[in-house]
Amino acid sequence: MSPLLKAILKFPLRLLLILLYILLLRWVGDLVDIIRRLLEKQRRNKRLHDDRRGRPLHCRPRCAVVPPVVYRRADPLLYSQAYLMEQGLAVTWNNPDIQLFENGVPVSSSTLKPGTAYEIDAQIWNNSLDAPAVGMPVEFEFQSFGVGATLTPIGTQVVDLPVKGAPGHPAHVRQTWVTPNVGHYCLKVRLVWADDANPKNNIGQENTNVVAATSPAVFTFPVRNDDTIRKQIRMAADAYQIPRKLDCDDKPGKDRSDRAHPKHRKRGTFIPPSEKDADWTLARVRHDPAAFPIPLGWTVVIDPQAFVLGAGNAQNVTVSITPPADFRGEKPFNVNAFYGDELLGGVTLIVTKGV
Amino acid sequence: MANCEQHYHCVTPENFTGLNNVIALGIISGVLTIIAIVAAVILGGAIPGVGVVAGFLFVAAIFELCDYLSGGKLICLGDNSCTIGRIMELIPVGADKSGFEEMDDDFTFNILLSPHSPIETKNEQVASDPFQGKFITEQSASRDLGQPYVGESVTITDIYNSLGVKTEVFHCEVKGCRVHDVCTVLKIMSFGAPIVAAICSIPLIGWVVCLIAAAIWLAITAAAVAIAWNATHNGDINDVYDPAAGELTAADPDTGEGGDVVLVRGDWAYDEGHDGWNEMHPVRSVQKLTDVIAPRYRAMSKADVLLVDEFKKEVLDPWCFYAGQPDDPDVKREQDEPENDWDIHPDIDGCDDEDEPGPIK
Repeated sequence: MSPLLKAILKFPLRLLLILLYILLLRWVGDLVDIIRRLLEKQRRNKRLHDDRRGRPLHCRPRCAVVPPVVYRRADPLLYSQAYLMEQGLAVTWNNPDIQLFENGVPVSSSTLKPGTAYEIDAQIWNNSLDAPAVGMPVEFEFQSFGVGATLTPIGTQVVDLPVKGAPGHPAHVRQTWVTPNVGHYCLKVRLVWADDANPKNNIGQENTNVVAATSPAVFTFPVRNDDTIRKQIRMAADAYQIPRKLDCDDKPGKDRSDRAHPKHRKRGTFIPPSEKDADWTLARVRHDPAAFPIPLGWTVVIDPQAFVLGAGNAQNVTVSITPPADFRGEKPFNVNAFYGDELLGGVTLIVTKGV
Repeated sequence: MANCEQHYHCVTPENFTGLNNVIALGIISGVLTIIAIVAAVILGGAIPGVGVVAGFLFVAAIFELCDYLSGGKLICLGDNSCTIGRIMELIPVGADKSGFEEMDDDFTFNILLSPHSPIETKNEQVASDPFQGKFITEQSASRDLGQPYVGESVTITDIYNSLGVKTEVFHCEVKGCRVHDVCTVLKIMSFGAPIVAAICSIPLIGWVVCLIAAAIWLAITAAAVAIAWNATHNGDINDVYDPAAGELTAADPDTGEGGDVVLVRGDWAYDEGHDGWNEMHPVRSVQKLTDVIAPRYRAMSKADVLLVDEFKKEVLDPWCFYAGQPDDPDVKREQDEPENDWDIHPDIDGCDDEDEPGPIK
């Protein structure tokens, strides 16, 4: 059929569509849509106004900027203590995304045997609904138990990370590791991705140790200053554990959380665009370090609690934890090292009694 | 941010009519308008209904024109197509347009299909690449409709001077909203045409009232179009400062080296509005792969069949597979599940419907 004939035959349909456009008030919807977008654009301009004040165009020669609606960035992540603490959240070093296996059986990272082959399983999430991370390198490292010790590479694996909600998400990547001498070790998993929507949530650590309480349970570990400057170190302990997830029906909206908990809103913190819809207020309420103090009846003594470390130096810290007389079971405590407000690292110490 | 690309969809070859409808309706509407005016002048009064019919035909012509601009000019060659290439040229919004053409506020770029080199001729690219070569090859869908095909190329100065080769590229268009917004205004305001015609057809209404009604209608239309035109400009300066926006770099125009490697998804189409080439129109997503793929896939030496095959297996297939998953209805459904409604980490702001025990730690 020739295009002209098709055009003629299409005409009655066109008239019908115009009639429907009028009668169904689609034109009202279109107008509202344009006005809504104009207002949205105005709000965006206002939001970005401060960012651009006094700054030159950063786009180099031969470059162009593609708007966010078209440009896609993956956001690979795992439970990342440094990032979460930067946002004001309590953390555990018993990382929910790092799991050790021996012959296919899950084992605790605190009870490792020397010279034994383990598999480290890293669970990796993608916070992007539309950008995968294909062929992403995942680096595995270990260090002696403690804070800031020298890292030793274990190996690098490559993983294909699909978008959130797709089959194969979260992705799992495994690395074989033969443990060295007797001792306790910390594991570090690092996701290497260049064009990352949030590069701060790519490093997760697993630093746990278990000691049976023989009134008290005593842990000793080194704190090392890897930096080139002298640092005043402060140690702090809490009893944080990742709380149970909320029931989906009970999850409040972001606005409701902001209204209900204005003190936890913390407007000054930079939030990456990939997390602009995140309910950080509720997260700060549920994972507030102040909400997980040392429980009544327990005594935690850190020696020394504050000290100065020269560049490259290390200091042994002893933590003595005394449980109540009637305690049975296991109880984790997190001991974190800070330089000012900056988290240098930490460990999770698990006290057991009668188990 | 406005998601402008959603307003543009190519048409199948069977439904392609080109500009025929617009031209036909415009001519008939114009002729009837002239007849109505001439009759009114000669006979001293309007012929009942002629002006109104002309007005309705004008409305139809506007709707047809807007349909044409919103995708009627695009012959579909493949929905949700996926391609990977290196950016040879970036064309800023409005850089190659003037006058009424500036209504089209697309941001466009031209890519050299990976893993090819800018020193390859079009025939060399197509001959060694059975996977992506189709994008720069004339397709039967456009040829059967009598559309010309000339292809699109960029001139890399050193390569052209030494080898006389122009680098064949694949054109990609990121849509702006101006066409859609101006068209929306035009469509709504076009209803004024039959209304003005009806007013002018009333016997007791004189020329002056008729002209005033027409002038008011034209003034309001012009003002509304001007607002829509100016307010919906793509290439917003704020994109530069938006941390969620992406920065793309083109290859050196002298040497052809460098330039970001990107994965582009969108509708693969033939655009009747250009000289004759295939393109990605509209681009629905762009993801930068520059730091991800091996340097040999963006080298300056010619790509052979072996390299193209390796590229397909290592890069093209896996990337296009994973990048296409968000379009899968099952994936969309899963993404809408409350369990996936987290933005920080599932253990921090996620929720659960069931109490499942965690792994042994």
